[in-house]
Amino acid sequence: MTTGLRVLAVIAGFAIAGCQSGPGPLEAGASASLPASCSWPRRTEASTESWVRAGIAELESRGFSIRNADLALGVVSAERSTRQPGMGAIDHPWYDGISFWGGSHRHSARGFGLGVGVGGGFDDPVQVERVSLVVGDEAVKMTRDSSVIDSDGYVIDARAYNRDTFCREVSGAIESRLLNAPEAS
Amino acid sequence: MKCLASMSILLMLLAASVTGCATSRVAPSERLAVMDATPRQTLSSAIDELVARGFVIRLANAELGRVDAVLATRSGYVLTLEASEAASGTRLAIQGRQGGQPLDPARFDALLAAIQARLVSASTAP
Repeated sequence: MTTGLRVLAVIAGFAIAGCQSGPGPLEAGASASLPASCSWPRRTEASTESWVRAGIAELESRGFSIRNADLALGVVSAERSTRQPGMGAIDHPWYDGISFWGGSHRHSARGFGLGVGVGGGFDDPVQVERVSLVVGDEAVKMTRDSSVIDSDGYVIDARAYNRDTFCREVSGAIESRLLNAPEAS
Repeated sequence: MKCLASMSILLMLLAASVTGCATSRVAPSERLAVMDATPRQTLSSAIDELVARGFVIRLANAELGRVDAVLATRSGYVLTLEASEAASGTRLAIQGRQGGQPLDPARFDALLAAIQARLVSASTAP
C-alpha cells in the first residue's frame, strides 16, 4: 500500500468521524438516550404547582437561575454559569505576556491586558448549563445541555448533558421537598 | 468643515452597508400543521416529544401559546413553536435555526408527525 493511499485513508477516517454524531434530533424516530433517572413517575399526590415550586427551590439551591416557569404546562427552565479555571490554559499559553516586550506577537494587545490582570481569573472559560424540568400528568422529565464558552465567546464544547447522578440527586431532592412540605389539600 | 462632511458621508455609507447585511438575511420560514386538539394539549405533547429528543425547554407559556426549545450541539439548535386556535383544532407553527442559520422547514416534518402521533395516542387512551 502506498503512503499516499494511507494518508488518504486517514483523512477520510477523520472526515467520517466528524460526521459520526448519529441522527440529528429532528430526524424521524430520533430520541435522546436519556438516563432512566432523568424521567421518573409522579408518585406523590402533590399538585403540578407544588412540583413546580419544589423544582424551582431545588434548582435555585444548586446555583441555577430560573429563566421561565409555566404552571399550565408544568415547565421550569433554568440556567447556571460556572467558571472553568484552568481550561483556558490550552488556548492561552502562559508566555502570552511576553508580547508586552516584543510587541510583534499575534496576541500583543491581549497579552498586555493579561500581564496587568494576572490572578484576576477573568480569562477562564465559562460553562453554561441549561436545564428544563417538565412536570407531566404521569411523569416528570428533566433535560440538560452544556456549552463551554471561552472569554472570546468561542464555543469550546457543546453537548447534551443528561447525567444519571445529577438526575438522581435532583429528583430525590425534589421528592423529599414535597414530602417535607405537604400542601394543605 | 469639509472633513465633517466627508466623515458623515462615510458614516452613512457604513450604515447603508450594515442595513444591507441585516435585510439580505433570509427570513426563517415556518412549517404549519393543524392538530385536532386544544392549544394546551398540542403544546403539552410537543414538549413531551421535544424532551424525548433531548431538547431543553427554554420558554413555555400556555397563554402565549409558545414553546422555545434549544439543544447545544456543535451548531446549536433553537426551535420556536407557536400554537393558536384554528377553525377546527389548533394551528401549530414551527420554525428554527441551527448554528444561526434558518432551518429548512421540511426538516420539521418528522417532529410534527411525532407530535401528531402523541396527540392521537393521548386522545384514544382511556
